[in-house]
Order: sequence, then C-alpha cells, then structure tokens
Amino acid sequence: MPADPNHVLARIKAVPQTRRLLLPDRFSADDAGRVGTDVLRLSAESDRDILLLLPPTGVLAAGLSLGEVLSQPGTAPTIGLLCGSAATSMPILLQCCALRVLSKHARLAPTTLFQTHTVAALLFSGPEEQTARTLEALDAQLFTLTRLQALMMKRVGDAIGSDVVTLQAVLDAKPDFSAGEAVAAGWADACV
Amino acid sequence: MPAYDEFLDGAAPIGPEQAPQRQALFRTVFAGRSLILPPDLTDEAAEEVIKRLFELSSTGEPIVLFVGGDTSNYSAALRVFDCIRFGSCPVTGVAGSELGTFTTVILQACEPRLAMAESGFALAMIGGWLDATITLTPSLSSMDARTSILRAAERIRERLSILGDILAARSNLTAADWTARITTGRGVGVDEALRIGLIDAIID
Repeated sequence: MPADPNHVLARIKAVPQTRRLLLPDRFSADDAGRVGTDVLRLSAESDRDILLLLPPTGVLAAGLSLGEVLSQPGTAPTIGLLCGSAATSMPILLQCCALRVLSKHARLAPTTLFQTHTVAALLFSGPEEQTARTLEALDAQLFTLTRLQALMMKRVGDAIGSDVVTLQAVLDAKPDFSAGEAVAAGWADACV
Repeated sequence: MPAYDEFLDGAAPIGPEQAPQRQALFRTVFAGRSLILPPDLTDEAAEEVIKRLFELSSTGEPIVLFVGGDTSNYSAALRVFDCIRFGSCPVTGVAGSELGTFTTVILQACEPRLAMAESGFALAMIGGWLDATITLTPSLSSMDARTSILRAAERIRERLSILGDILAARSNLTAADWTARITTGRGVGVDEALRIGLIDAIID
C-alpha cells in the first residue's frame, strides 16, 4: 500500500540534520562501513527517524553489508531517499529501509536481481526443509548475497501480492521503472 | 564582521524593497556559506556540490547557491535539485549569467530565487532533436535501431514532462506552456522571468 506522499514529505522534512546521512555516489565498502557505524551510533542515541540519502550507484557488496546493518533489530527506522537514476545495488539497498522513498524524478533499474532469481525463487517457493537444504548447498558468500537479494525481492513481491517467480517475469518484461511505476510495482512506499 | 559592514555602507543605491534581501544575501556570502554551481555540471561535479550542501547544512543556517551556465546532464541537475528540495536548510539561489534549461530547473529548488539584472534563461534542449528522431525513425532498416530510438524519444518526452512540471510548480505558466517553450527553444529575459514567476526578485 503506497504511503501518503504529503505525510512522507513532512516526515523527511522533520528529520534534523544531525540524523541525516549522505552516501556518496559509487560508494565503497569503507563508505558503507562509515555510514553503518553512524546508523548504529544514531540508533543508540534515539529511536527517531534516520534519513539516508542514497546515491545512484555503489558497490553491490558494500550496499549489501550496509543493508545488513539497516535490517538489524533495534536499528532506528531509516527513511531511504533515492534521487536520480539508480541501477542494481541501490534499489536493493532501498528495500532494507523502513520507509522506501523515491524522488518523483528518480528511475529504478533493478537488473542485478536477474542473476540470482532462480535461487531466490527456490528459497521462497519450497517448504522450510527444502529452503534449509538449498541454503546449505550455497557457498557462504553467495549465500549472504543471495539471501539479502531474495529477502528484498520477497518484500517487493509481497507488496504487489506476487511470488518471486511472477515478480521476475514482471521484471523480465519491464526492467526499468519511473518513480510512479516503481511505487505501483512495490519497489518503494512513496514518491515525493 | 567589518568587511561586510564596510561593503554594505559602500553598496550602490538599491530600492527599499530589495534592501533586506540584499543584506541577507551579503551576510550569508560573507559568512562563507555560499557555493557556486560549476559551469559544466558533470556527475562528479554534482556529487561535490551535494557534499558541500550537506556540509553547509550542519549549522542549519541559510546557504547561497550561485547558479550559472548550462549543463546537458539531466540526471546530475535533477540530483542537485532534489538534494536542495529535501535539504534541511534554506538555500537562496542567485542566477548570475545566462542559464540553460537544467540550471534554471536547479534554481527552482531554491527559496528565494534571485537573478542578477544581466542574467537570462535560455530554455532550449531537445525539441529539434526529438522531431528529427521521429522523422528519421521509419527510415531505419534495423528493428533494433528503431526500437532503441523510439525508446529514447519516449524517455525524452518523459523528461520534458518532468521539466515542465517543475517549472510550472512555482511560476504562472502551465507545464504545457513550459514544454512548448523548451521545445521551441524560446529564451526568457530577466524582466519576463520575474513577470511569469520564474524568479522572485531581480538584484542589481
């Protein structure tokens, strides 16, 4: 269910500068580590919103490690705000934020999901025992990457009432979204 | 700050309605809270502007952004526009020369939007290219080439629509008026810009 843009905009505006974090474009593992540390520090200070300004591009692995931090229980709610045209890792990192917001001028191209969609489908289509066996069969690094991507993909799938296989078919047909289309497809909660 | 006061004392005569705005502007500039948009706004330059805006926002005090020149980088311009729009500090925009379409759009994120008397707005971008594309497309033999070009044309129309919406949001003209102006490449002088609401004030 899309969020009310006016309410979202008011929530963004209410975030003080001290709780705003800027991820640089083409951000690296170092940048992700620094921002992740800031998120934990701000979460320890207060459970009020943290605004995370997401850039168009970043190293996928760095985005995923930051996504792990954002997904930790006890982390203050993060508003992920994505401006510009973002491919691969940013749409995925956005899925880890409590509130997923796009500028109305943004575009999303979540193409990286193609690489792991089969594994993602396996993870969420079978019974728990099968899921566990599938996980065990995966290499540890691939597991981390795939698990996060699959979780994020499932969030999008849930938002539109679709399983990941159907969602993949949707992505195959349309890999590139305007902000409005991305909200309608469940990739974000609002565009403002 | 003596230099600032001396500058104000020696400033050229200005109309009473401009004086407070002008004084606030000078105060901000002399406090080192200003930045200049690079004339060629590449992705890297936009990133630097965004970082600097973010740093300057730490105190919550006003910022002045001098806007000039043109850029062909739509994405970079819209990122800067959004970062000002979603920022936590008021950003005064000052148009200091001839602005192109995308830099004019960046100015629209600022509050207030000021323009030097000698500035202007050259709103032209893609109209001719779009027309040429549509004319050329049927003659292409390759289906892939036709598809690619039509997709590019669709993207251009979408961007044109976004630019029209942004310019219409704070002016007296409609989005359709603005897209027509951009498509036909019609320039806007500073007096007309004030009249149609593209800027809030002219400063001498």
